[in-house]
Amino acid sequence: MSDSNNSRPVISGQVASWLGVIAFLAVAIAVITYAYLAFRSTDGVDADRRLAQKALRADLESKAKGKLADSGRNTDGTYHIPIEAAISLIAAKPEVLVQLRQSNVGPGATAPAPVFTNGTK
Amino acid sequence: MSQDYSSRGSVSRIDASISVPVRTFIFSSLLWLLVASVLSLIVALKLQVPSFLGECPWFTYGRIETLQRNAFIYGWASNALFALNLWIMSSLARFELKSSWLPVLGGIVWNLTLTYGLIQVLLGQLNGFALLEMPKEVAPAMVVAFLFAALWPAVAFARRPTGNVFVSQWYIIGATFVFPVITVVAQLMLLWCPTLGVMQALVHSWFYQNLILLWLGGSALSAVYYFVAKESGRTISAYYLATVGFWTLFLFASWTGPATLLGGPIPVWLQSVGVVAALLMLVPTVITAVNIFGTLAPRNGIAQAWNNTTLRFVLVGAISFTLSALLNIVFSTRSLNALVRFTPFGQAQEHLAIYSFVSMVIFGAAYYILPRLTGSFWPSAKLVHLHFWSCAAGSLLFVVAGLTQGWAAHGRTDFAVSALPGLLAASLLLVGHFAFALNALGMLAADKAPSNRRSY
Repeated sequence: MSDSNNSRPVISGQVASWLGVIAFLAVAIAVITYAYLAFRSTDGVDADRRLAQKALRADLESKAKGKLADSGRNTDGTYHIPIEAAISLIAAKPEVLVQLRQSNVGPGATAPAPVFTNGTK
Repeated sequence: MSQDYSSRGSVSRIDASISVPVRTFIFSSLLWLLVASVLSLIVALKLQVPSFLGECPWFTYGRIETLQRNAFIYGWASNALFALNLWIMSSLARFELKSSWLPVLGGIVWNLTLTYGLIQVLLGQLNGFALLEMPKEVAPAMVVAFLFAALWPAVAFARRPTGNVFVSQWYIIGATFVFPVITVVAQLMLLWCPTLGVMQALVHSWFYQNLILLWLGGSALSAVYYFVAKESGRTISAYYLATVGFWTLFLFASWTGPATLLGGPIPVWLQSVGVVAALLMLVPTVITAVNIFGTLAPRNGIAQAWNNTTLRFVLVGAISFTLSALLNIVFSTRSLNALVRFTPFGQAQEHLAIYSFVSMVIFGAAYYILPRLTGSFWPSAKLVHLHFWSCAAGSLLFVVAGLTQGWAAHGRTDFAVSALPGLLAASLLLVGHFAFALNALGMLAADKAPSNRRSY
């Protein structure tokens, strides 16, 4: 004759307590996670600003790179040429470099003007 | 340090019930300690000779240093604290673990996951957040493993037969609940759904301070309170203050994160909050010092503690905790922090907390627990002496050299000079750790009495 009162529980008391502790922790973590995700800015303002900043940086970078590869006149009246052309020029005629240096240390110079602009002039 | 290398010769029912998981954790922690010690020596060598192992990208300084730190914190310290917390809580709560396979499974998963994460770090898959460097898929597995391995002290606490709560139990419960929460929240806010800009630094500093002060520090403090009372046979002095010490530690430690970012691009008011919280840490520090040293100081207690293996390690740990906390308080003020920022001073402070405090307490606890768990003798008393003096000298050398060099540096760190004491210290620690591991593994191997149980 079986005794139903002697049937063992499916989950022992210790394991049940352990699962209870896990449940308590899970609830605590879920509340914190929900609070973080719910109150996080989702209107895209930050994302838009970051995208605009990225675009601005890319634009400035491409302009700077362009100056290294193009020739043209700078806003201060000097000229820039591609760096390869500048190197070839100096290699063929080294006195150009000396002239450039002398032209920038004259007594009339009021402010130290850059010899090279973006590596070229 | 003369009398307690031996065991009681038999194992209590409580110890027998937790024997397998505690041994698993201790065995794992020993292996990780050796790995971390060898890596620490390589790191120190690379600071002295940068070209050492320099041709292989696996052994670049950044990866090796990250490996060492993670192996030490998650491998050595965390595994050892799983064992320590379970053993202390089971003893205090008269808890006999029935399903020991669950924490063992958790320990295995924890160590396998950690191994996987560290291999990924070795292969270069790491980010810049200290102690969160491993790939983000590692963290969920580690949290699940933690739930299996380290929540049993909380179960023991919940099922304790009496309503008494000891201070050691508070610290264990606090530390046990802190780890999963801070890990999940930090992972979420830094790696899974990252916050923007400077908030990342703030979240990381919060995580880091909680991990060091509350998970490692809280667990180690529970052991300090337990073993000081147990081994000295005295009541904790001013015990009524211990409650205040516990709550103030857990209240203020979380807020000290911004104090580690002084001078950084975070709002000044937040930095001030961090500084105030760091200054308020004086409360738990003083209370702990009053509790521990007030207990040991009267009636020649310090000398008695010095002659007891466990208490000698614990005493060094308690002194290191007090010193570390005081240094943190003093050098969290803006003017003094500016002098030592970005110098070896910070590393020395951290070493004082993580190694000289936490690790020394773990060593002391192991000398108490292992004989009772295995029913065996410590194989060699000489190795115990070698362990203590190597670790104490290495730790002292590292801390003193770091503090003095950091103070003298004022922003002009000479790496070659500062690396030399570190190299010597790492060598000494390696010797000490090998001595400890040899002794402990010998004891585990020579275990003769797992079935020789007696009731408590």
